[in-house]
Amino acid sequence: CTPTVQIAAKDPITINLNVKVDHEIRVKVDKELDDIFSDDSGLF
Amino acid sequence: LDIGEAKTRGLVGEKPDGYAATIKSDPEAKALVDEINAKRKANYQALAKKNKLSLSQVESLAGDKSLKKTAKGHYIYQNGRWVKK
Amino acid sequence: AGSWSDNQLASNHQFTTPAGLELTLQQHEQKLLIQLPRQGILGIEPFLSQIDSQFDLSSGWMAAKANVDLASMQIDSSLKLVNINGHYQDYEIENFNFRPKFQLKNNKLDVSPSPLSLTRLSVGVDITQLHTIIGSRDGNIEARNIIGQVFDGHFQVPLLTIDSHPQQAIIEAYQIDASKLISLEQQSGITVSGRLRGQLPLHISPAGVEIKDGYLVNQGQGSLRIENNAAFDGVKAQQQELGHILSLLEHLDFTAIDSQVNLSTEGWLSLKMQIQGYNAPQAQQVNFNYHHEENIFTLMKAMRMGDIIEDQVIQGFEDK
Repeated sequence: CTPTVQIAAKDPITINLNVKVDHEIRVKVDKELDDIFSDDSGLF
Repeated sequence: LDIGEAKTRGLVGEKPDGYAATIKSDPEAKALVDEINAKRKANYQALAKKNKLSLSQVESLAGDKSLKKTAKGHYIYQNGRWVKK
Repeated sequence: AGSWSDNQLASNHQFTTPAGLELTLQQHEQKLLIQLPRQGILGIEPFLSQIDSQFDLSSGWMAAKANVDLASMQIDSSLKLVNINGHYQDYEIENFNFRPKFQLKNNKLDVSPSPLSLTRLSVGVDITQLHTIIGSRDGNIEARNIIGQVFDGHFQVPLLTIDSHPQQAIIEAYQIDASKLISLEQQSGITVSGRLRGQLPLHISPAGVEIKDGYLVNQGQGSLRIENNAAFDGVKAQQQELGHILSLLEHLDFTAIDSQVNLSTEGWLSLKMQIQGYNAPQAQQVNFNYHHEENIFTLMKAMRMGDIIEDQVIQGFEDK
């Protein structure tokens, strides 16, 4: 996303920050590792 | 020689860093381990990139998983030595 | 058939269940007295696991007494649960105490007001010094003036009925330590100081628990310092031209925070904060609008699993 920061009046400056924390990563990675370490992957 | 057979014969075991390793010096097992670890590393790098994680994070998750999934009678590397599960 | 003469039917039995629960049974005509002398809690594990198999008690003791009138089937009973420790699912319970007195009459349960206390309940975050009064009101069991501590601050809830009966209750919170809240995120390099108070309207329904239109405001002064935090430096690197503006956030002293808090039944938290602060090094007044979205249930689960990894933080800036 291309952020733009609006310089409000000279003083004060406005900053908008959005943070979204996603814990689902761990679950996704866990599933994919299961495939790597499955019997037929030939890697385990 | 495939990895399952190598493990059953106690030639190869799993390490906490997500990679396999030879337990006894055996050239055929060594070649097999190198080949498999290279493939695993490629998978880990892809996973890390896709989920914006570091390689070492994926490797440690993989390590937890491989030690857990190691079958009874196969070997895992724990506290500095090879242990039979 | 003759009536019983004065040597009425009376019997007295004492026995122990397979799980080790000690019980005495005394019967005198239509009256039955069941007594469980003071004993370790583990004896009731089998019964408990029938109620809910996810209870796993490790220590504590109990005692109980029940007077049963076989004619009217009225039961008057008292129960003592003391210093109970254990787990429910992956929540940890420490020093649970409850000594209710209750009556069962034509299958209506009436609990006379009985204090319940818990030293620590860990759900990923520690809730401590929990205390409430459990009692009945026209057939419903209620928890009244619930108080406790969390994030080094206090909370209270006037009243909750103990079933998923649709209800609303306002959680009042005060003296919440902002630095403890931030520590949930496990982001090194970000230090926050300041205390918060507010109200979080709880909406409980069969669909689940929700917070709608809650607010948190500052109690007194506070500050934000950011120093070599990987995520923040990453964003600054991506948005070179904004480096100067972003650096204002690295040293902020604030006098006013307003925020809106909403939590969905699936656990999605939306925290919108408006922070009026001053960056002394650059002598610049800053209005910092911070919107934080996170799934609290998965965060708590990750905390309980104790291995929260540096999760992907999706960041972006927006022109107001």
